[in-house]
Amino acid sequence: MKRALIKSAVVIVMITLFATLPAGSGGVGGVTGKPLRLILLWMPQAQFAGYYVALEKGIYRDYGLDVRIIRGGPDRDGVDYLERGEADVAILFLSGALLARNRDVPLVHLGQVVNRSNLMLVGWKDKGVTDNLALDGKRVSLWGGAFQADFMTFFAASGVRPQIIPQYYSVNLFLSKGVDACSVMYYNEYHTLFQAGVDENELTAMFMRDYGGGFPEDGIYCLAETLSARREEYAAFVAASLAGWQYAAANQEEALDIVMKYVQEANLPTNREHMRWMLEKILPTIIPGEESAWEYGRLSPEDYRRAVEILKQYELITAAPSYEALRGEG
Amino acid sequence: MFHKWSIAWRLGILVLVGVGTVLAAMTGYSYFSVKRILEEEMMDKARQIATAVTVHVETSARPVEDMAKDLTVFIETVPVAEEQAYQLLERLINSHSAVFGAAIAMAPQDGGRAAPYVYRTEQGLRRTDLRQGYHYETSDWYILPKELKRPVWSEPYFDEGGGNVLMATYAVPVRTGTDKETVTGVVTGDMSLASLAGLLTSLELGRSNYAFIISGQGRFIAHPDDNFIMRESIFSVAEAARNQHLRALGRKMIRGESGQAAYTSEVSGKPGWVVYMPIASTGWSLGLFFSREALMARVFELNHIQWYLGSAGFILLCLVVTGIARSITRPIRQLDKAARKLAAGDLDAPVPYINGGDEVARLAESFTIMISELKVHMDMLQETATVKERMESELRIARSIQMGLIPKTFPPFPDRSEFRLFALLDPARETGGDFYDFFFLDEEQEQLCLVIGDVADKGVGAALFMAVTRTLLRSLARENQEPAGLLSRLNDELSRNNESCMFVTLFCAAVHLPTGRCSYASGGHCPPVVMQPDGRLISLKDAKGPVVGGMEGMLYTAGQYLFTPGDLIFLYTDGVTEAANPERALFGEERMHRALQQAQTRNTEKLLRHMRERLQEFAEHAEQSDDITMLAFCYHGPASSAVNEAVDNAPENSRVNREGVDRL
Repeated sequence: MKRALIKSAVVIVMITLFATLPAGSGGVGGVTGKPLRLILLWMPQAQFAGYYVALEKGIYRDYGLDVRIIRGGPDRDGVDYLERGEADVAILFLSGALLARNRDVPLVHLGQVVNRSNLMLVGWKDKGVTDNLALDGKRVSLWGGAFQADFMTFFAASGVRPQIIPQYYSVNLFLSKGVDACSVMYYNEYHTLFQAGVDENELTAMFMRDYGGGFPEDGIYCLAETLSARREEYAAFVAASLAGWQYAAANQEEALDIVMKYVQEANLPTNREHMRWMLEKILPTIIPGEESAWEYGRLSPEDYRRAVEILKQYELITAAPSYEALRGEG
Repeated sequence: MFHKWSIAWRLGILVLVGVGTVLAAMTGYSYFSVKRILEEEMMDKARQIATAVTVHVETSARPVEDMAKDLTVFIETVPVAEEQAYQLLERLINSHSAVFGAAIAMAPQDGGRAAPYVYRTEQGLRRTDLRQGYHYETSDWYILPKELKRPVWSEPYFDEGGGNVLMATYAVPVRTGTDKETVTGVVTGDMSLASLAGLLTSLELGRSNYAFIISGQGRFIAHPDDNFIMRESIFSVAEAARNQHLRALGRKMIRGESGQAAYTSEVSGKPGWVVYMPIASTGWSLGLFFSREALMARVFELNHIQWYLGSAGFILLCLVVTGIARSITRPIRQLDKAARKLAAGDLDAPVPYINGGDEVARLAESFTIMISELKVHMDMLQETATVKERMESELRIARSIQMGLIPKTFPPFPDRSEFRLFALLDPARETGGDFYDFFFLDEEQEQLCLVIGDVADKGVGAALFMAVTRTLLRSLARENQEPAGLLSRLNDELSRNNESCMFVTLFCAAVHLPTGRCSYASGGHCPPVVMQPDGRLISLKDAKGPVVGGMEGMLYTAGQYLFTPGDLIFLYTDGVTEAANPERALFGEERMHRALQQAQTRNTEKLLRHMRERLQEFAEHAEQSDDITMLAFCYHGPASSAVNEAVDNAPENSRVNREGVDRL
């Protein structure tokens, strides 16, 4: 309890610090400056409610920022956008960022939004997946890329060797029972299954974070070369984004209205109930509660070191910058 | 409360309540049965429509499936070059109008071959190589048949290349390898779902009813509201409405079940029913929503004539019942009015004439008879009253004769101190002819005569006979001072010419006041009682003789008694001893003696009033049948010793001749 209080105090001090920055620096960058382009990780959805809210509620503007949001998607990669100079900051998974660093993309970590992993595996109970140990020899579809480390850690911890099928953008193969288990995000595909008529009691749900996997997810990144010129602007952006998330947490219906506006503009085949679930489930992995082990908006060195270690273990990366170097403090 | 209402009201209300209940029950029954029939009819119709729609969709899907399967067989048999593949696809699409597009997509690792795709546009068929910039190996339509190793209908999706058309793809795995097991590619056929919406809106289901189709995952792929298509699923609607029943329904639908269920429209929020049926080959499900409102409108349409007829009939019935009730009670009310007049004494009040022979008519007849009977009775009564009036007047005359003859001034001789005397005569309603009298027999006024009598008849005759008796007695007493002789003489006089055969009982006593010697005679009269000063009672029944006036020449013996001061003689008529109470018991001599003794007084007036009170007490308001006459005489001694008048307990006078005197 006492620790939680201290933590909250730290958070408040930090937010106040960020909040006073633009005012203190007399409109650094300023609305008159060149716009700050943010590329998201995926299509418009509640996973990014905080940024949309910060934009729509004028929080970015209040911080002296002129932010443009670029949607992500299967056809767009945030790292590419940064490298091509089509975006200034990007939302990336930590593991994804580390893979890019491993390819010598000079990414710098500005802030950590989602500090707790939402990654999980779900299996059909009627196909025999009653727990993690039952996955041995089962057909399991998995997302590739950086996620592999989480799943490998999980399989190693469970001592099972499933048959891996690549998984892309949908869970339809799982729904057609073409696989016995598949990878889902708790805030997204897990609920997609529910909205396809699958009841929770039909599934065995396993969070990677419960088995040593599961890294911090959405973080804010930029390229190292843009950092020195726009350091204060980026700091203001991170603070404003966090303020946007806080506003979204406090005004969830309004945040949903804003998200749905973007969803409809993009003509996405999704609905408000799905976005509501997403917002409700992602918020606790962003804003720390009393029991949470992280600071709001901040990547903890331990989590970072653990992620690096596991990614190296499964040879997804060979080298990683130090914590300080990742944060551009080197 | 109800019983205070008039018969017309009660009759009317009871009939209307009864009929109204029956009418309401009938209408209600008809309402529910019509509703049930319409519901069944609606469900039947819904099932027919649903069958038609599913057949229609199936027949659209079948050519796509057939084409894809045929093409698969073809390329599994004969390897085709790129240009040949395009031409093949174009020819197939042209010959299958249901096919929107078709592709041959071999595994990407299978060399650098193209993945030809031909699809319809407004400008005609168009060719595309899917390998260029389209990672089809990540698409469901490629992965699912490859992994499932069987043909698969994909979830409907918006095709981004082909003009944003909602389509579904039928994909068949291709095995060109030698082992015939490994899937080396996929052949697809696309079906546009754009025509589905048109098909559903053409169904003419009726206002506020509609049809929808959900995919195998519950997603709306055809729906009257475009915003629902692909965005919402039956499960997202259930989730938003927190409706577990809807979710359960959705699960039944995607499992391929058919049936019907209560359903709330996700468009209007109105209640109704849904009939659902699977579109088997695609894994979709069709739902037909029928709103309750629309059904009820039809129920009302069919029922409203019945309602109107029922209401009109009821109103008519109200009028008829009121009329009948009033016509039944009108004669009763007229009779009531007549009866009231009758009760007020108007016997000539007209009794209403009532037609027919029903109960009321008979009542009126009885009424008329009753009135005439009443009139006859009244006349008779009047006649009797006249007769009675005459009798009464005769009785009055008799009474006035009787009362006029007897002395009524007391004390009669206030200057005489030797005695006190008091008498009472209470006449009965029919005068009985009693009398009493007292007078001095001699000029010296020493001999006092006391007389009490009772004529044996009633009315005027008796009164006159009594007057004659008294007058005769007085005149005869001048010459004959001995009571026995006097009675003898009187008897002779009265018997002579006594044609009416009347007679009288008489007691007559002559008291010599200076000595107290008393001589007495009785003509059949009850013997008087002497109360001696010590309270003893003596009956004077020594004298004997028959009734006076019955027969000539009768002899009367005299009795003697010697009064001592304080002696009181009580004379009475049989009206005293024969006074009756309501139980017809007689007062009798014993009671009389007791009453005399209880009086304990020598005051003659007090004594007689005491006796009268006792008699009244005994009679207890029973009507007095005979005159009651009493006379009390109290001897106080000779005039010289009259000072000792109020001697109550004078010593017994031993000198008195007690012969012929009974001690009581």
